[in-house]
Amino acid sequence: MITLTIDGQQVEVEPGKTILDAAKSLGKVIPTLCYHPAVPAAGACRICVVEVVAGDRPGLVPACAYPAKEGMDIQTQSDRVMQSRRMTLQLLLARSPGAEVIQDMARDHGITENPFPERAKQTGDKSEKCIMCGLCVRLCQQIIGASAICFDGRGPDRKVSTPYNNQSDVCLGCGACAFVCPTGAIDPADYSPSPIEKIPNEFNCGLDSRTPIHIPFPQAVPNKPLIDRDNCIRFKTGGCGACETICPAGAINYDMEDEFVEEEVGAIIAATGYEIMDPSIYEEYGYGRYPDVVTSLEFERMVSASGPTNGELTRPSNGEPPKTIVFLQCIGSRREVNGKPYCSNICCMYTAKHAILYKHKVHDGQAFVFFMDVRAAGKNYDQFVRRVVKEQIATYVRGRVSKVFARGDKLIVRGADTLSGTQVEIAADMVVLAAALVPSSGIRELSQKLRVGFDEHGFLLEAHPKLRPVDTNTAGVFLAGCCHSPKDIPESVAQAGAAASKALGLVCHTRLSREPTIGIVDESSCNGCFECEGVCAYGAISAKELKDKKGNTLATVANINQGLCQGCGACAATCRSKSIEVQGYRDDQLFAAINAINR
Amino acid sequence: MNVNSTVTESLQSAAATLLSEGKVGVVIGYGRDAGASISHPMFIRKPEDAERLVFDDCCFGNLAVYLPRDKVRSMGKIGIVVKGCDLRAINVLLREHVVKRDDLVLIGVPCTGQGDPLLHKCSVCEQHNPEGCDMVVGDPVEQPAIDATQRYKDAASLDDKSLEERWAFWSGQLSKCIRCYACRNVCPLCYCKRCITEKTIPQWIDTSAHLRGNVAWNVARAFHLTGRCVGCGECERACPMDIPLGAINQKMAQLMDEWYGFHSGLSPDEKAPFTTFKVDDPETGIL
Amino acid sequence: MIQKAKNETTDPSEWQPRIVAFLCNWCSYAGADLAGMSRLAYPAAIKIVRVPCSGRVDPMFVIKSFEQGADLVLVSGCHPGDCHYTSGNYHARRKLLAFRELMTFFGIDPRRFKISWVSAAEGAKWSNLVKEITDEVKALGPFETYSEILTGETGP
Repeated sequence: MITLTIDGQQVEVEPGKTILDAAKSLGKVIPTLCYHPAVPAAGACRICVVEVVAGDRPGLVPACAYPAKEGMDIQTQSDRVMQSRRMTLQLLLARSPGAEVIQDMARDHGITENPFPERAKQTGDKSEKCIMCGLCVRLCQQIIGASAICFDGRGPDRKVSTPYNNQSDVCLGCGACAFVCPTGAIDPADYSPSPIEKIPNEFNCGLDSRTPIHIPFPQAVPNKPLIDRDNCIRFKTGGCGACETICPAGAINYDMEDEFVEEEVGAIIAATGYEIMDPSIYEEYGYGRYPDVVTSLEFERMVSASGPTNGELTRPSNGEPPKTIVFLQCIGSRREVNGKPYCSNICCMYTAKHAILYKHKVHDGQAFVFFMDVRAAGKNYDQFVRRVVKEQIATYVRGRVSKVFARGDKLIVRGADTLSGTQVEIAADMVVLAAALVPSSGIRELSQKLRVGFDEHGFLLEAHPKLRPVDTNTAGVFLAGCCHSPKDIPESVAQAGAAASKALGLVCHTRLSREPTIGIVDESSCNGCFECEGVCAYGAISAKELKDKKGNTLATVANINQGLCQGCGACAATCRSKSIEVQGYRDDQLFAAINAINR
Repeated sequence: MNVNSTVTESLQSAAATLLSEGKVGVVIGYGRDAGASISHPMFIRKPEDAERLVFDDCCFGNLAVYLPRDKVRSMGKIGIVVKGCDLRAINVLLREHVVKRDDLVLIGVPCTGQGDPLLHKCSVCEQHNPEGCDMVVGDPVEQPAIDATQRYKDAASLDDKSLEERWAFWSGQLSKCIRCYACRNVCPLCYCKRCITEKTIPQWIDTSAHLRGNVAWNVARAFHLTGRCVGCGECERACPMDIPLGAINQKMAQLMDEWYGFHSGLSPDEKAPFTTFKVDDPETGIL
Repeated sequence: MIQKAKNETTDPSEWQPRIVAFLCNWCSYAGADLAGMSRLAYPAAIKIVRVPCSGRVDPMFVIKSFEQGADLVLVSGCHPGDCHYTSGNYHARRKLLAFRELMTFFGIDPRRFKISWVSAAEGAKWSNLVKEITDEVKALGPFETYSEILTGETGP
């Protein structure tokens, strides 16, 4: 370890660390511009200079690039340092008057006038931001590995550019140069014909963008970042690797692969949730055509403090707060033709909640709700909706909307008020669609894997609608939440609790007790044709290899899982060689019954 | 007899190559003894014997019948000469996991039909050129358009009769049955280790050669082949009492076709009609 | 009540058909049970074999019943979509309907083999169904096609 003194404080650092690293470990801030932890330092901008008082050759050195040495005595705030830093700032200001970060630093350092002539007097460009630090060039070359940009020209004409000032075909368009530029001087579109498009943030319904390495959503479990391989430069080109360089915990591992984890379990609970249907199939509501027509899920993100606008409710079209908002319920729900015939269950309540949230955000705003019926059947639910109506938080209009169309910068919502029998038109700033709930995509594949039935809409089937609403017909598989039917949070929590206790009830015993009327295979005569497997509704039949003492496979026969079999006997009726019997309903027992009847 | 010499020659060389390279332990094909009226099944286990293989227009037997047998399987990987119609039986055996595709080398033979006059099954055959074989010997032959109305003509002629006439016909035919089980033994799909007739606890089928047991046996046989029979016609050809068993199989094949659009053995991946269902299956005549 | 039931029973000298009925445990058997609990009388000619599901019925049970002298065989299960085992009746439907066609093709009278869907709530349907099929089989008379082969008169 190396021991040195910075501003009179002793500090120990590993060999190879710079003075800047040492200062950081003391919590001291040394201003930097051309420095980025992911890029090897070059000491180009000279803003980070510090004074070596003793222990090495005395003088000013760039902290970002100068290695810490044993016994050094460093001053970061000495007169000589501050004088040098001020002059550097004056020079940078003369060259790049448009860089706000330089202006701010100059102000902080008490610079009011500049003895150096402004370069803008020659070029006439007062907006110049580039300070020629070359961080972007080093990054593109050493980290990204593309070498798409470089310095071009000499003397006053020197600038960062691509060869021949043409858009580069080696530029990945990754935008890393713009990201690290200390003064915001770079627009990647200048360099690449196809800058990488912003990656929509899935959790915020694509209302904002995210980086390839990201934490999927607030309060994610585990609350850790993941790398989106499809968009990561490292995986696309082998370059970059900045996150690995920076991560102090060394947690980044690009060699990690997806893996299949196999576990033997005694029970499975399906809780795959829901999605909302895409309301753009209903052209009359203008979703997808007008940016101010949003789904309720998008609205939910917009008003969330962790959402794309940090909780500020604005119109996507122009960023103004929406003064009039219209909520349309039953979009796709309770619609026999071209929609879902079922009620989505949760929309009445969240729309009332949204109306309240809206009033919190826009105090002088007006909210309207178009509804078919208010279905508020839950504890205190009706009171909640009543409150929204009574306190005039929203105006409830009973009727359907026939059309949403643009007029000027307003959206005209034309609908029927069936209580007064009149047509109404509302000039709205924003329209929120309560689109129907549908099961998660992939539910059919899941249902096949679990051998659980699904209804015509894809919701998984319970074993009995009244008596076994949490079980499925496959023993050991239980349902929780919206994979079963549209449900609100208390209902989902209740069902999840029930499913958990059902599952625990199964696995807490060392032995499973079952009805004895189950199928038994006669392995000596089974042909192994597995037609029985085809008719088994429970996936109870699997292949079993019969082996001799040496381990050679003699035959592959059907095997009935005693825990899954429900004893229906479809397999026994299908078996041609009569190798399956259902205990209690054996063939000889049924024949005896037939004989007895006809005696 | 009408030997197809080009097919025979390439068949012989293909079989010799397979055997000498050790790719198969046996080639099952057709051979012909001097003076015999039809070609018979032949098992070739040495490359030098391959020249005894023949392909002509009297290769009636469905060689797939040998595949389920343990003794044949113990010979190693099986090379088998298949006509398009035989391939359908093999597809059913694959579907029912009786044989594994990896254990077979299918030597396809394009075939314009067997027998003179042509067998009925050949006149409505849509598989002149077997598909999905490991190799095909001989050139592809033209597939004539098939008159689908003729496919089930034997069954249709009986369907036209009244119930009483049909019972008179079948009780007469089935009275002849001597329960030799040749129909079962020659059928590539009757491979059960223990046939239902051999199950004694309980006794499903009266084993005496009496009309009661004969009806039960033939009903069971026909039902067990429903949705599986590929119409190779071997049962009827083997029957020493000349019972028209093919018509029964045709009737059930026709039902599967009309109700479920199903033709057995066209692919090893198909699902047998009795192992699957549709919610809107036909259900006329249910109270 | 007892008097009334007695009056309904038929003349003992009259020929009584033998009907073997395979009823699924969950719907049709419960439906027949409900008919009993509701005091809905139906002919005693029907004899019930309880099976877990109509899908349990191997069509050879029908032949077996005829061999034992049944004049009519009935298989009854849950309505399509209501099977306790989700799909047993769908499989039964395919097998039993095909089997009836096969019987017909052999010249065995298909009117001797009935299939029905009776739910656990349909006690009245069950009662009426049994009355109807009993009347029908009485009109058809004894199943001579089979009784002849049983006595061996049409043997070779």
